[in-house]
Amino acid sequence: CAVFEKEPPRPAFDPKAKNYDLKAWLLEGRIGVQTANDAWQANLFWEHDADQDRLRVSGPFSQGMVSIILQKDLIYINEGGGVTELSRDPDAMLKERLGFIVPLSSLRYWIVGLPDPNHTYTPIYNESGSLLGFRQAGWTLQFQNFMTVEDRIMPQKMAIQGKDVKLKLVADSWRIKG
Amino acid sequence: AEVAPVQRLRDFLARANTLQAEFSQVIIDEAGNPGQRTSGVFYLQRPGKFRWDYKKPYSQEIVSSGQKVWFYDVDLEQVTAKRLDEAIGSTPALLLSGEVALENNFKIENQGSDEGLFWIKLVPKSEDSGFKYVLIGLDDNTLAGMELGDNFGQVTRIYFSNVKTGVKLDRNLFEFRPPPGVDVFEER
Repeated sequence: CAVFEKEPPRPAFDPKAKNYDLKAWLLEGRIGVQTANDAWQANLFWEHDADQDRLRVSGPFSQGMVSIILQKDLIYINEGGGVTELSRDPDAMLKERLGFIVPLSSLRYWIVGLPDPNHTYTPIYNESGSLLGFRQAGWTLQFQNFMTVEDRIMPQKMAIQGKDVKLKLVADSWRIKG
Repeated sequence: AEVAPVQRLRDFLARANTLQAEFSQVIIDEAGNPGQRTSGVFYLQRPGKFRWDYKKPYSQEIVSSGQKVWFYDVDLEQVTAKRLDEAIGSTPALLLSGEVALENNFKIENQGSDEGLFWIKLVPKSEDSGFKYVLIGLDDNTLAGMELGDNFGQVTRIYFSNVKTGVKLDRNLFEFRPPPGVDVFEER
């Protein structure tokens, strides 16, 4: 029984885990961004459902907040003061606003611990053979920690390494809404 | 005569050369729903030195030496240092630190007293200050609370308790030394 107890929670992208059926969730956590010429940390609020993703990235005391709404290939960005900008190229708009590119359509999957089903991926194992993460479309995803939420295993701490940006994410709370 | 809250604020700022207090903070969204609560200890040494030690539910440090502000998130293992005047989020402490000349940067209004606190409202004169107003609450003559209204209609409330002013504060509180193994980014 000791072995069972010690068995770490199964990383979400393990075929036996089941996060692909996730329809709606809400994440409250923190994000660390590192690019060639800047670095910052912020609070992250991300609410996902079938129609859209609503993100809020803000500094301490909710200063400097950016609100992002994503629908299919449409992105709305609002930095407060009533001005909302719209673009059909979410990744480019994000690069302009937050200073880095990350494929948002894939990030929706990565953040719940899943490879984007529309691209191939290669799992990464550590020396003792347990799953660490995966590589996909030029990005390396590493999951340092998981948390159990209802009967699901959700990422609690992860790193996303791209060519010219590194994101670190920590989840403070997950709410599964459907 | 009744001392106007604005005068109370000036008296408090003039007297509180150093300050130490526990704080708890909650962000209330534009629909009025309270979000995550965080809490910790706040230190202030005028002019310009301050420290927010977030302890619960996670640990973060915001440290200002008066020139630079360090943001350290323990879980993210990342430290970013920005110049004080560019550091997002240094506003609340700067208002108390005397670094900011209140009169020329804010319209100051008495909000009278409520729940035994005297409230002063500061409305930034410059458009792009990142927030719509700041309320400072004084309990007879010591800091009790602050509230920031941002441009999204959200409200950040900070409650101070166990407030001590004029205490001797260790100089190291306002100098940040990154722990080993943490990613550090200092703005040149």
